Amino acid sequence: MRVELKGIKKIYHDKVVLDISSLGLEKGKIYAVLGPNGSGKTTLLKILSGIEKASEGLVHYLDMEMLQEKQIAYMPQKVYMFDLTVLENTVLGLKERKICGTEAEKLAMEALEQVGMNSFSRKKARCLSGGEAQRVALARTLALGKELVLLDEPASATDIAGVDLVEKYICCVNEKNGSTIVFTTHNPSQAARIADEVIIMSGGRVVEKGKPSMVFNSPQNQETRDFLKSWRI
Amino acid sequence: MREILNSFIEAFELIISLDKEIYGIILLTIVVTVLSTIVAAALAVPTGIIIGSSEFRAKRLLIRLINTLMGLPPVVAGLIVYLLLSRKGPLGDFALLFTPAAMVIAQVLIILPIITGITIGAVKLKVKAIRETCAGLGLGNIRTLFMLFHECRYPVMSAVMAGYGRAIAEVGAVMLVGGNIQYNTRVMTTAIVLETGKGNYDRALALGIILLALSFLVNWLLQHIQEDL
Ligand SMILES: Nc1ncnc2c1ncn2[C@@H]1O[C@H](COP(=O)(O)OP(=O)(O)OP(=O)(O)O)[C@@H](O)[C@H]1O
Ligand SMILES: [Mg+2]
Repeated sequence: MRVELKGIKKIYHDKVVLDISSLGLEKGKIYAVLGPNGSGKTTLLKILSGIEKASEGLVHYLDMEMLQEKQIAYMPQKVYMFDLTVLENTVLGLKERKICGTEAEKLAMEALEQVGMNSFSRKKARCLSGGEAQRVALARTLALGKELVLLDEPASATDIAGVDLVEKYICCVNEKNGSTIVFTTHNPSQAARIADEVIIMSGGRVVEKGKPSMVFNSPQNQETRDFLKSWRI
Repeated sequence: MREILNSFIEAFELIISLDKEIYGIILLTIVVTVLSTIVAAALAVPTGIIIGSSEFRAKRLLIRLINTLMGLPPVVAGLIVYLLLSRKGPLGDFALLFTPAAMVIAQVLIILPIITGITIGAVKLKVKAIRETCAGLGLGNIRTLFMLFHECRYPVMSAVMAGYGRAIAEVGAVMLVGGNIQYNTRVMTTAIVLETGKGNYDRALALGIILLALSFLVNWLLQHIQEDL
């Protein structure tokens, strides 16, 4: 799926928190959104997902392959686990797609395996640790195989071994399904590792967009330089 | 002190003696309160979930109204039902006044706002996270409402319990619309009022003890159901 944003503004209580005159996301690419706290990353993802309506402007979804069902999956920044088992949590979205029970469970188990959580499948999801829950949340989102996948800080609480799994899984879904993936992160190295392009946000605006190597090595914008100033390997 | 002790002993004798009238009263009390609670819950839980999870202009006003009605004095609810059901009232033709049906209607009116109000409060706390997560997984509206119910089932169950507690403890409304007719519309609370007035403290106390035990039993049962969910 290809996405185009035109003149998007989001206003909360008279405060403009998102102001994007134009932004295009190409089909089958991985985008990393970076920026300080409160710069509007989550707001951008919510508007892309359709959960929040923009106060102004339009989002166009183009070049969709499947038209009969909503082709967007979204993982919120605050992970919520339903009071069910890990497997049931993972299967929920697949069943909604009318994939039959055993097939859905097979897909769910595969997804859990990708994030190293398959041995937890019968456990109560409410008993998981923060990082474990985040991995399951990622698995249940990526398992859906949607054309546009939006991940809000998918690995912020995940340990280093987990981060490795998660990054591989994201790339794998991107390659296998040709999904367009947008994720936010506070880790520029992570963006450099897996993103085709990075989008730098500041004060609700997109201040820079381009290949990670370009943006990180020679930022064109003062706000990008300020943002990257404290980054050390 | 002695008198109270004697009343206690006589009360227990009454309970074991299988007094026909007393057991009739107990049965009617259970039927009326359980039926009221079921009807009220069937209406109030879906309403509470829908109000708590949707955005509309009059929402705050509506919630304030429901919260006010949560404190509706049972006698006032009884009076309203009385006026509606009385012979000259709009529903007079059904001849329901002074029947158990009238008592159920009055109690439904009393506990409807209680269950609705508590359900709205419970749903409001979780709705944002659940809605976001469901939408992110592509779940439809009906499925999302169901998940909302599933995730709020414990507080909803407490809401139903609170409603039941109110129904079984209430005197004013059942007295007004039921009329406390012997063998017909006399329930435990109205019987206690009557027996106390007549100076039959042992009967009143016996009923009081049974009422308490009944309330405990139902709460215990509900708690069990809750733990199995
Ligand atoms: N529902 C809301 N009501 C009012 N203000 C909001 C709301 N949601 C977000 N904001 C404001 O919008 C701005 C952008 O928030 P957003 O969550 O998009 O930031 P973010 O870039 O995701 O930050 P973080 O890195 O901390 O996740 C913030 O200043 C925030 O306070
Ligand atoms: Mg955020």
